[in-house]
Amino acid sequence: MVTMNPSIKRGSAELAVLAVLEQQPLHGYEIARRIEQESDGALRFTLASLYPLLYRMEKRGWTKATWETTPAGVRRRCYGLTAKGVRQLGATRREWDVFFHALSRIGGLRRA
Amino acid sequence: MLDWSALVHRHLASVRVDERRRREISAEMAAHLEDAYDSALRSGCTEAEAVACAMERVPDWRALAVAVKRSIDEDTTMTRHAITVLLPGTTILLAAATGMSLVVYATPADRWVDPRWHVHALAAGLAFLFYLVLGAIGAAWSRHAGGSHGERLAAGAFPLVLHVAMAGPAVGADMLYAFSQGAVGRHLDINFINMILVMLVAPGAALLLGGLPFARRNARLGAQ
Repeated sequence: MVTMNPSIKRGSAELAVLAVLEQQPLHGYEIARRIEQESDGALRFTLASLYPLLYRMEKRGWTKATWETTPAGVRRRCYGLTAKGVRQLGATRREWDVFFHALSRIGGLRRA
Repeated sequence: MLDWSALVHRHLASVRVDERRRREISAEMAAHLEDAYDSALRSGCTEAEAVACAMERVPDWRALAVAVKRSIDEDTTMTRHAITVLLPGTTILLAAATGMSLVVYATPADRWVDPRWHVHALAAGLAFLFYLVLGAIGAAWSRHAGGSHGERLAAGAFPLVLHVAMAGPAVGADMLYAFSQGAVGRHLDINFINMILVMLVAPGAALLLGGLPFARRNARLGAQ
């Protein structure tokens, strides 16, 4: 596992959340769990890093949250991507792609 | 088992938000901690270990309260457009208004009706340069604040609001005059083409030209 610089983590958090929500609407714990799992533990969210980000995304209209009741009868607030969020995900992906491409040229990074 | 909801609610007491929203936030975060706790139990942890595992999600309650408060306060403090457009825009608008007032105050009356064309050309050139600089400052400021391409141009062109506000009453007075005379073809003695060129087109072009070098998209990564 690679330990990442916190500032890089912060910048990538938005992309990570949008990307996992692209697959299906999820609640906070599940968003954090999937990101941690899919990044092999490199990206790990605390409540302080996840929820303020989710609230900001909701305010910007990128996500829409609804309370849903799970089959076990537990209420969870689920976040789904809006059309604006899908567009934002595309734009963010392009930005990061340019960024990584530039870094890989300069720093000789390997792509996964 | 811990009462997660009460725990979160107690630690977020300092966040000033309406009670319904506070309950919602507390319930959501309590559910998160409960899920982490349940998951740890399922993986074979003891209850104490599961609680510790859940609490790892909140290494600092104070930091959580501050971060939540900050994300909520964004609505009531400055919005993104206020930071990237209105703040730089109104500042250069005030600079434009001050500049114009100083020119009007300092210019002798006879200079306004000076028949020599080069006097007017020099004044127009200086005014154009002044607006070019204002447009550049507005767009550069907006870029520094993280403004997008359009926001930077809007911030740079903001003083046009002042010009529209000055030209608007003249157009309104002319329409009122035509209406009072009962004849659509009658107008006040105002050269509207000149007025639009001098008050809107020329300053608008100067502001946009000044802002253009700062409006390129690749100016700063992550500015969007």
